[in-house]
Amino acid sequence: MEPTQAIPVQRPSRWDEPLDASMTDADVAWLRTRGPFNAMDQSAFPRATPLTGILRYDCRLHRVEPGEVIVREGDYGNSAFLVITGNVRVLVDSLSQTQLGRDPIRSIGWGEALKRFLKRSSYPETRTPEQVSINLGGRGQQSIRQIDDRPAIFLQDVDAVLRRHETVSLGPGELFGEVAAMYRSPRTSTVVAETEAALLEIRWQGLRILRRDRTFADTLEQHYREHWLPVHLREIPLLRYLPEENMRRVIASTELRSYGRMEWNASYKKTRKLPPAEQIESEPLVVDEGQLPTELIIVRSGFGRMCLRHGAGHLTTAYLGKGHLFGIEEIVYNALRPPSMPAVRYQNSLRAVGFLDALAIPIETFATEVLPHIRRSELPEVARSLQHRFSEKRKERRRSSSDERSEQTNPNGKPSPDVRHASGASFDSTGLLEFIVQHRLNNGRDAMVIDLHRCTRCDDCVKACGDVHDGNPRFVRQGFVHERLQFVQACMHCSDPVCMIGCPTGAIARDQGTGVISIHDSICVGCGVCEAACPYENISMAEVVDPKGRPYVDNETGKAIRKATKCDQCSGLPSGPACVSACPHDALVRIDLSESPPLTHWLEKRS
Amino acid sequence: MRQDKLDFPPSPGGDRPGDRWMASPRSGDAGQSPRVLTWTGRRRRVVTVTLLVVSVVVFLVIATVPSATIIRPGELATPHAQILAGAVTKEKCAACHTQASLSPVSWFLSAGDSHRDVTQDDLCLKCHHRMIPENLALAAHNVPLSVRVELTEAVRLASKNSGNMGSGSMHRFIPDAAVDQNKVSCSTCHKEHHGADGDLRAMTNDQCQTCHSSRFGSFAKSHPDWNGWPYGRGGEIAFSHTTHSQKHFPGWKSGAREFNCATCHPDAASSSHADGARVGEVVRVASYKHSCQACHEESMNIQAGEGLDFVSLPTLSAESAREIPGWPTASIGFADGVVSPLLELLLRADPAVSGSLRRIPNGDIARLPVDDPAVDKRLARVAAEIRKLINDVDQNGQSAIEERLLEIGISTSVFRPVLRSLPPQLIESANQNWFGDSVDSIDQPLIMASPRGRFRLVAADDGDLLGSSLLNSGGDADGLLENDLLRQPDDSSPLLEDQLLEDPLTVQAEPMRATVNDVPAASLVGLGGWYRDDDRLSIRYHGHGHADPVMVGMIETFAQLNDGDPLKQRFFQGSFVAACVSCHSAAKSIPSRWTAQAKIGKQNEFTKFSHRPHLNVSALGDCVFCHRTRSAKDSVNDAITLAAVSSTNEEPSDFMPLDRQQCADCHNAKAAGDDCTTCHRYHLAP
Amino acid sequence: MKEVSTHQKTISLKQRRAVALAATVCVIVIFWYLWRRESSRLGAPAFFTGFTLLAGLVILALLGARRRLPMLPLGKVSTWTQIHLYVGFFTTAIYIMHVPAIVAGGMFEAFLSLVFLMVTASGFYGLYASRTLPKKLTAVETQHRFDRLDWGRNQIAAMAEQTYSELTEPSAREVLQTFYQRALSPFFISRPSLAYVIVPSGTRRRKLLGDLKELDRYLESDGRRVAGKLAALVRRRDDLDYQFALQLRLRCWVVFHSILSIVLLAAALIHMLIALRFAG
Repeated sequence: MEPTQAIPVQRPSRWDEPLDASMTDADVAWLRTRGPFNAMDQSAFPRATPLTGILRYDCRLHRVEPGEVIVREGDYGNSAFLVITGNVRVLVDSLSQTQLGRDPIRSIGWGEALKRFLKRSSYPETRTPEQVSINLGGRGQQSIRQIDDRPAIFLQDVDAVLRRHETVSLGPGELFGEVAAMYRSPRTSTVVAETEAALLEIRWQGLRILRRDRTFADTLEQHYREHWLPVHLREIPLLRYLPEENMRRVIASTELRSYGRMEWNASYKKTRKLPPAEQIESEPLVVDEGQLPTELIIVRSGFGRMCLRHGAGHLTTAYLGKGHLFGIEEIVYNALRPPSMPAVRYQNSLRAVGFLDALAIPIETFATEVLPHIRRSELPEVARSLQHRFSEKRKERRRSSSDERSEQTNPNGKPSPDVRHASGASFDSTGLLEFIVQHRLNNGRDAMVIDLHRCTRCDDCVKACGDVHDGNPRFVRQGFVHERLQFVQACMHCSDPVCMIGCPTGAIARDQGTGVISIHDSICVGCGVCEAACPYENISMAEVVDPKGRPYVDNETGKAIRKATKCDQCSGLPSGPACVSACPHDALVRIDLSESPPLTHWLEKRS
Repeated sequence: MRQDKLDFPPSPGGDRPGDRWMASPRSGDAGQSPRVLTWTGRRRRVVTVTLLVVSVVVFLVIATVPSATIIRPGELATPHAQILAGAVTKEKCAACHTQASLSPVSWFLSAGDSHRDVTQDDLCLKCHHRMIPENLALAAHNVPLSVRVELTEAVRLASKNSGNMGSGSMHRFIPDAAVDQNKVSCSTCHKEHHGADGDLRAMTNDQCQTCHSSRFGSFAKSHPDWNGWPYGRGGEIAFSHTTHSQKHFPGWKSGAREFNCATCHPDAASSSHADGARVGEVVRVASYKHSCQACHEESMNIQAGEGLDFVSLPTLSAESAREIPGWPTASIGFADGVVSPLLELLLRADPAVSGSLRRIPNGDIARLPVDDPAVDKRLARVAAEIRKLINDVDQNGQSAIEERLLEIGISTSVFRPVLRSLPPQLIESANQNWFGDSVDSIDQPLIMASPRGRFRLVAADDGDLLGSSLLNSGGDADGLLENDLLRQPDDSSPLLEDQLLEDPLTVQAEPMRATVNDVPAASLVGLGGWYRDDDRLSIRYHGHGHADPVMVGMIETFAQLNDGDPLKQRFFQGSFVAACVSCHSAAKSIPSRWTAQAKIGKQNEFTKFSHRPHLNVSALGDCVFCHRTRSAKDSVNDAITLAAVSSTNEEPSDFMPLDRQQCADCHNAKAAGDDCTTCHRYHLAP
Repeated sequence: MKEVSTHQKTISLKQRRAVALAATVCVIVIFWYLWRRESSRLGAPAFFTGFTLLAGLVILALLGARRRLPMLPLGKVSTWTQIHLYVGFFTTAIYIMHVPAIVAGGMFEAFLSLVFLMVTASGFYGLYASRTLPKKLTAVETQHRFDRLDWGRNQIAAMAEQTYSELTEPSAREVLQTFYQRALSPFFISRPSLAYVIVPSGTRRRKLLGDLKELDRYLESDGRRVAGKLAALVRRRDDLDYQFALQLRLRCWVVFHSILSIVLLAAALIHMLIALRFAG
């Protein structure tokens, strides 16, 4: 037998896909002369990823014109922006949706809903001219303009806006948007170009490497610790009774960790077809089971998989999402155990599914600063039983049993729901759990789930969806099936909305109040970024026609105008989600899969 | 190869399930946008076509089939269906519905004048007016409000006495009626269109009771008690079952003729005189001929004795007699004699004489004080009146008597049989015989000559033969006579009358007078009839056999008198009359009742009863099971029942009352049924 | 039944069913009592039950209206379905109280009662079908959408044709050719027979697969691969037809039920007019 012949291939390299292919060496050289790159220590960077490489491949130069909106509050983004020349303004308070060119969600009444229903168009995807482009609207000005090769959205009457709102001006050398880029959190404020300015957009991969430079990193981290970490920590229910002083010490000792790839959605289609064992193996390990607990992991964004070794593979026990805690039981047990009892080790491994951004509180800090301020009722079950055993020793049996009873009947004795489910979402059926994690359905905040044992396939849901959307259903009844559940391909309004990354005009936006992600037609330029980004293929691009069925075309290229379409949760309609209310057999539900109780309860109801 | 390895592209999205058309799945088809129907499109097409077909069929049916066939909410009950079977379809509905027109157009128009004020009830009564009085047709129970109030009170009292008010059961939850009791439509109870087998008279207990203010639960538990039913209302015939069964026919002891209920109460269908009765129904009232005659005929004839006086001349003292010309010397002596009740009745027409008569105690002149001139004078007046009466009748015949009766306010209709049988010639002959020459002129002195025989044969037709037949086989002859009388009550005794009137010569037949001269006059009329007794100077009637029409007439005449009238009492005390009224005790009442009433079949009775279904039960086949005769001991024990019976002013029956519990043994919901309608009827129409 | 919808969030479907059934039975008993009461008091029980029945029919028909107005906040259709279901039970009970005979005598009335009975029967069948068929549908591996079944059928046929044409080895081609042309190709191209649609059975599938298996021993490995792929396509196609048959049955039932209910409602109204016209 001959040895199999090797095939020489080029190894895929880090920068196969530059952020901007038009970046030239001249640009890089010019950038090297400007701060903060001029101060950076070239040797601090690994040889594989030199500073010039970062500037070349992970950066893009933008020219912005006055009034252009650079980032919008609430958007997600992968990039930070560095002001090279000119000035930009950060708006401290929020701009209205209209100012950003979005159509605010308007609650319509019965009459108008009925009128819309009756005036359904017989052509698919019809739009009025105003809906097709904001530029055609009555506002008279070009809200969307082509800047160089990209469409950009402009504020109308920018001077007045800047006058009316409290703003912070950023000048050359200043960086903004890095927190949202690094930690996958929504942008906290809107940034508008004040003058014509040159910006360097740095994608998060580059930003991360740039942190090799100590001063740069320190600046970033200092900024984060000062401004954002307290906010994030305060959001964790377990820490809500922590005194200010303890909090400060916790902040000081908390470490920030990031695992996995932020663009998990790019590889999702491949990985979801992987066998589970391979998939789990490929996921970055955060904490391995069997270690002695050293820190409490708090998931800040992204997803984690709790698993333990089972036979030759791994058994998923739960998945973690934003706000979930890992290791709390072990740590509390160890902290409260009598000295005679051995310390427990991490019972599960934690792996990053896609990417995981975590805060780690060292066990010592936790024991001294946090634990005394946790309500006993909010402690995990293990710890409570442990405590209970102590008290049993001390007290008479009868007393204690009556205590137990009173504790059980005491409503304050129950942990609040936030805390109770803080250590991950899990289901009775491991298969379901694995399935959900494998398909990243735990991302769904408002996933559409159909109970196939009740669904008569009447398609009333699709029909209803069409009826309230001018005849255009925003989903078709297909999707992954697990046993009796079908996870329909309809927008899940994800907790990690990858679709919102990269929208040039901010047409796809999340409503702060409801969390619903919707597309604003009039500023959607039909670029298809969101469609490509959505791993679940829940966004589709549609060529739009006018009410008489004539297609809209671009006046320059003659190409058909396309708009991204997806489920908008029937926002503003009096009926609420039409699909749910149209199901005659209680088979369809919109449900939050990032937590287990909703689905568990729903399944219990129909068992 | 596993199926899931097959890699199919996902089916195209962009569904528009609300649209009618979608792109054809055949991608390779010609370019001109091939399209196929979506399910919605197919569904719409099917729905449209089906509805169109249905509408067309409906219109075709309406156009071709008569409306009455199309619209018919259920079959009619058989009787109605039979009646309407021949009717033209259009009239079928109109027979009961005032909305005669079936054309859909007319539904929305006024019915027109022809139907104004015509209700469905009027249409019901168009046929049923014979059974139901039209003026009371819509009143509850077809009786006026006042009667209903009385009935209500009676029921209330009865249930109060029974102590059954409000005994715990569901009946207190029966709702109040939704109908006006003075305007109860026929259709309220009689529901039509429930099929050929539908019972038009079906009523539930609740439905019956909904109008009633006193309500009962089950029959066994809370129906009001009754008093002595079923015997309490009988009594027209005095008959004791007790004595008959225990004294007269104690056969069950001795082995001789047994007392058998069926002897007198046979099956109605097998009994000859109850034509058309249904098998199983019992003859309620025994006929005389069938049941009584064998024992009672003879004694009754004996009791009848010499008969009844029409007129008899009292014996007057000489002074009194002197005042009356022609007073027969045979009637002069000590004041004696009896003024017969019939005579007294006729004399009452003259108020003066009636006063005198009243002074005669019991009509017995012998009891008047002797040698009292006033008495003598009064007697004389009476005698004169008697003389006048005889004269009057002699001259004016029947009309004289009728006039007198009318004068004292007595209906002559019942007396007519008497008049018809009484030949005026008899009076005339008496007048001639007794008063002789003074017949024409009362002032003439009395001549004691008797130009004729001392009595006349009245039943003159072949007396020997009749006499002998009477002696030989009285029963048969009587039977014939009786039948005659019964069949022709209005022209009674044609033999007597006709012969006398048409052939007066025969009565003067000398040989006859010669041969029977010494025989007592009464014995000559052994088969009954009028005769003149010259010994006692009286005209009498000798009744014979059962149901003698003359006796009936006289009894009914006297029955019209006031109960306190001593004359009435005297009449009915007479042994001859007593022979009738000892059994027919109700003959004395007004109007006279001769026969006992059967208790079934009268439309105005609230309660109905039929033996028929009961006798199918083997235990009940023995009459005694229910009808126990009352012994002496029982009557003591039954003091309470007796008291109850006596409170209703009726004679205690010789049967033990049938109490409710006895009925309820079978009549409960699980056995024979305890529906109201089992025993009660709604329509109390007369 | 209103109760049920408000508690829907918390109680399980089984509890909901128990509560709703109990409530329905209670309401039926109450109406039975009222009906008895009305007939006891010599009222017009036929009018009482008749108007109740009509009201019931209107409520039942409201489900259809609700389904066609998805944009209005009129409560979930599933709530309406539940109401529809239990009002259906209720109406059936009232119908039995109302009619003197199960099928009435007159032509129109017989038609009305037959339509009512058909609607009722189809309703009960629908209840049964909509609770049992989804499980059968779920048991099939691939889920198809009804309007795309034809598309799926074409895809399978195309793939079968392509798979067959992949076969280059002459001996295998010889073996498979007859069978493919005689049995497989017609199977893939044609729609399922009416008999299969009415009573879907596994006979066809078993026969084809069995015959295909028979041929295996005449084939070498590549031929077997193709035959195996064809077998997979047969299974897939049969699954699709099975889905087609069951989904079609569910859909046809809805159409049947709704057409008849329109007719029923119209006829009931006419019946009401006639009854009012001829009353008394």
